[in-house]
Amino acid sequence: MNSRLYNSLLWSIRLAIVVGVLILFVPLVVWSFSRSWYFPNLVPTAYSWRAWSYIFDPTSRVWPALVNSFVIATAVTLFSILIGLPAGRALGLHQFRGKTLVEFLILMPTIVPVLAAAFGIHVMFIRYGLSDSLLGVVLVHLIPVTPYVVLILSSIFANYNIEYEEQARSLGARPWQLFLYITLPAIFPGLVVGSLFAFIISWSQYLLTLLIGGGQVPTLPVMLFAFATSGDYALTAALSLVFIGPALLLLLLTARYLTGENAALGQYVKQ
Amino acid sequence: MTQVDLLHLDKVYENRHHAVQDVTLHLPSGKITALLGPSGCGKTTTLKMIAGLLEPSKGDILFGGNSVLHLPAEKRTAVMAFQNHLLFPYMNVGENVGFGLKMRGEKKAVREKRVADLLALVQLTGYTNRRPHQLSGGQQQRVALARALITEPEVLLLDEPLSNLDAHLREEMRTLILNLQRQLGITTIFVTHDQEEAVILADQIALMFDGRVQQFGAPRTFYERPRTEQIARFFGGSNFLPATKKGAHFWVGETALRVAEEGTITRSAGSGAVRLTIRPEHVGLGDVARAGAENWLTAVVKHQLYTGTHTRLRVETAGELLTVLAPSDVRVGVDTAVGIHLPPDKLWPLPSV
Repeated sequence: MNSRLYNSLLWSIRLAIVVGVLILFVPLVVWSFSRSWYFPNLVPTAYSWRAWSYIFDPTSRVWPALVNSFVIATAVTLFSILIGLPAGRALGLHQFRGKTLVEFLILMPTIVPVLAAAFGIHVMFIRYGLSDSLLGVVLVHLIPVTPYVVLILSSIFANYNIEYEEQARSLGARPWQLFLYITLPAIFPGLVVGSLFAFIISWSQYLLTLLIGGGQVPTLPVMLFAFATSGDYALTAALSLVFIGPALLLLLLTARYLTGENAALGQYVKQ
Repeated sequence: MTQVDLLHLDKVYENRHHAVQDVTLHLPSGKITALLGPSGCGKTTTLKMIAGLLEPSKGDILFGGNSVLHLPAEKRTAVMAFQNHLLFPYMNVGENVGFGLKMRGEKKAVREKRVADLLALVQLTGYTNRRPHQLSGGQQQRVALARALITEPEVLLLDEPLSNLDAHLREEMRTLILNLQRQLGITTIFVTHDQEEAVILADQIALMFDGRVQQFGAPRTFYERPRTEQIARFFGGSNFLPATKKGAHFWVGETALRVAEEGTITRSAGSGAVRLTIRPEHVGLGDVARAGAENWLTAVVKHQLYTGTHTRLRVETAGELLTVLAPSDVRVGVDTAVGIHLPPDKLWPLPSV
């Protein structure tokens, strides 16, 4: 195939994908500005700023929820990386007795519905005063998040050449220097991808937040469900856009680590 | 100037593989030592123990008479350069070479000056801003060498420094390492599986099989005074004549041979079966009429191969085949009887196996 034809075909496909994704948002945008939109009208019969002015109202409950969601997702990301780094390193670099069992246990939350475990955890959290609190929500979000982070980081470490660290040590690098100058640059793409997964999974949790937070920790998904069940479509649509926005932005910012040469492995691969 | 002493070093891995057994070596200051042996003989394990990257199961390592076992790799005054160069891919050449100084907290101006000096030393001036992947294999190896030398270590450890290079680069790198080592007078220990490389580069060789040092000494001794037949074979020896020692002479069939030096054989085999070895290039070739003179034997030519630089003959004497490396202009017909001379100072008795 000649390259001009190939290029134009490639760009057509890319355009189709972008249009295909964006088209899903068109009804949401239209809904968010509608005041009355009933069958059989193709477009709303009346428009209004009501939904958006509610959202941008400084006294609205949207802002605390947005802040809650953001704080929880950030904390979950940090904690999951703190767990995922040593766990991923151990699983990726070392062979040890019972490794398969550990891997299986780490994968469990992705197989077993987390909700089943969450009821038991809820009882424990009540006993330790963790229910209805932000910290409790953060801890329970770690259950669905951690497996992904550990898996991503262990696959990074599986291809990591430990001899670079030995070389650096021999050249005089102390443990913290080793991490900063050798390990961190090598695993950085994996760290970005793992963080992205952690943030987005936490960001979109609804049931766990509702159960453990007991309604005391309002986050965006919790609000979104409340509006959706109340039948206020304009507000639901506007809030959906607010909900999707940050996740989409994060994805765009980190996209280069998901594709091409930077994908996952970085440059420290084994020779 | 640092002498390195290895005292009864032992390394048993977690999987119970006994990689290094009772290695004791005294490596004089400012010399090049080769740890030579086939793969899996424990030579790299020994090197990593000296570097501090592996902990010995038993034994001690002394630098200049002081034990360094309590020092982690980053605090030892030994630097190891790995087989695959291992240049850090996120750093340019200058940052790679200056890495050791940066870890010590040297100022940037000092580092840049030293990096320029070291790059000049390995003939790579002007390469500071290149990326490792833009360099050829030989250049990468030289950058790795400069990086290892920048902190002025007392002991330089090289793991197979020439094995990843083409034949002509190998020659160049060999000369560079030799010159640098002479210039800096740094105690150098390198690992290799190639006996030719060890002989050319090293002042002394420690030959290892199965985790044990088999022989330690100057390169020449491995050719002319090997301790066992296995060692002789590793160095390309192929002539082993069964003989019996009676009195002052070694008897091969009906002929008594004189041997100038007997090493330890006199004690181990007062009068018994031994094997006499001699390098193919030391066997003299002459007319069959000379047989009967001292250390001359009759032999029959079985094969003849012209190799360009030599004529390689296989001759049979006393029921054994010997290899003779003769000058390239020698032509002898197959099945011709010839005389072979085994000079007493080149003939060496080995314990019979």
